[in-house]
Amino acid sequence: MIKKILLSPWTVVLLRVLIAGVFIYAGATKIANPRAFADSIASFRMLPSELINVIALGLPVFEAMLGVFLLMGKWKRQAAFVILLMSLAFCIIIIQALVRGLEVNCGCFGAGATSQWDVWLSLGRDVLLVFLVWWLYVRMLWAENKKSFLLAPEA
Amino acid sequence: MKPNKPAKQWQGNLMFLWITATSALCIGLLINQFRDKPVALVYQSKEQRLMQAVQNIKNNQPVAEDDDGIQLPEILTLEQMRVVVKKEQALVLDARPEIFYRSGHIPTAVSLPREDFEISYAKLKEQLEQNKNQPIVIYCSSESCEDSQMVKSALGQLGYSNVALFKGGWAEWSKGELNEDIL
Repeated sequence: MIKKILLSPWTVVLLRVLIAGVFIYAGATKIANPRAFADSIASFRMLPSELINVIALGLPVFEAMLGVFLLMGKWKRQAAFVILLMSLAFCIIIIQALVRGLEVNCGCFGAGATSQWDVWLSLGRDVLLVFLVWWLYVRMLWAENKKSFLLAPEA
Repeated sequence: MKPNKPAKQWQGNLMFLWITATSALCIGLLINQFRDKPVALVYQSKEQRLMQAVQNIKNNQPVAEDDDGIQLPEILTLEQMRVVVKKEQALVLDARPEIFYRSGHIPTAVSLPREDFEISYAKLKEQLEQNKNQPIVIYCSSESCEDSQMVKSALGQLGYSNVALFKGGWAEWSKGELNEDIL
């Protein structure tokens, strides 16, 4: 039953809509308040002040664009690949903050209070996202290669 | 020799990453130019931004006059806060971003967000500067937020001497209201 659900083409569509929705929403909330997002980035103490605002202005648009591309379908496989890389990067960034004992504000969906519980919650959410996007990407690759294999002329 | 399919796909992925990231950065910078208050390219911490706003206000401010009022403790409990609000003993300021203020706030409170301190202060200028010793209570989201403390020290620098904090903030107040409704 689970295998059937996982392999269903509807699962791919559902995952695409879900992940695209998350990225568009996350991007939109941060575009609306770049200062709060810059504060979140600064709380991770990883970047010099010259880069923080540039990233706070560019990254939310990037997230929203990836969401739109994933939803539209034209470059969905490429968008899934980049979302996978980004989610992995987010996980690594949160883990390093936890290891360093920093009180960070994830800022994933705009401004929020700083608390250790929120950071663990964000990490859990990101790990889940990595698995979902990884599955989506693998399914897309598989579908694409299978199609080209079927269309390839016989040797 | 033609590159094989996986190599081509990788190339496509990386090209897509490069083009999308560059376009996103350009669009982000462009959107910023159309904001009411564009974000500076070099980051300033919350404290630095607030101090900058205080400095700007100080630069064009007349000397304050003295007047006596009720002396508030430094930190108010929920019960004390209820009395202050009910009897309108103090000017209550909400230091959260205005969007949160709009979705719900303590009765009689006015919005003075930490983020837009300079603009909001200008709007409340008359009410605030008529008496710099008037009792003022500031709150933000909950005990873990720092906006109320930051706004308090900003007001301190501007010469306000009778400023108290309601540390529990909106979270404690709304929970208290809910409990009262249930009881």
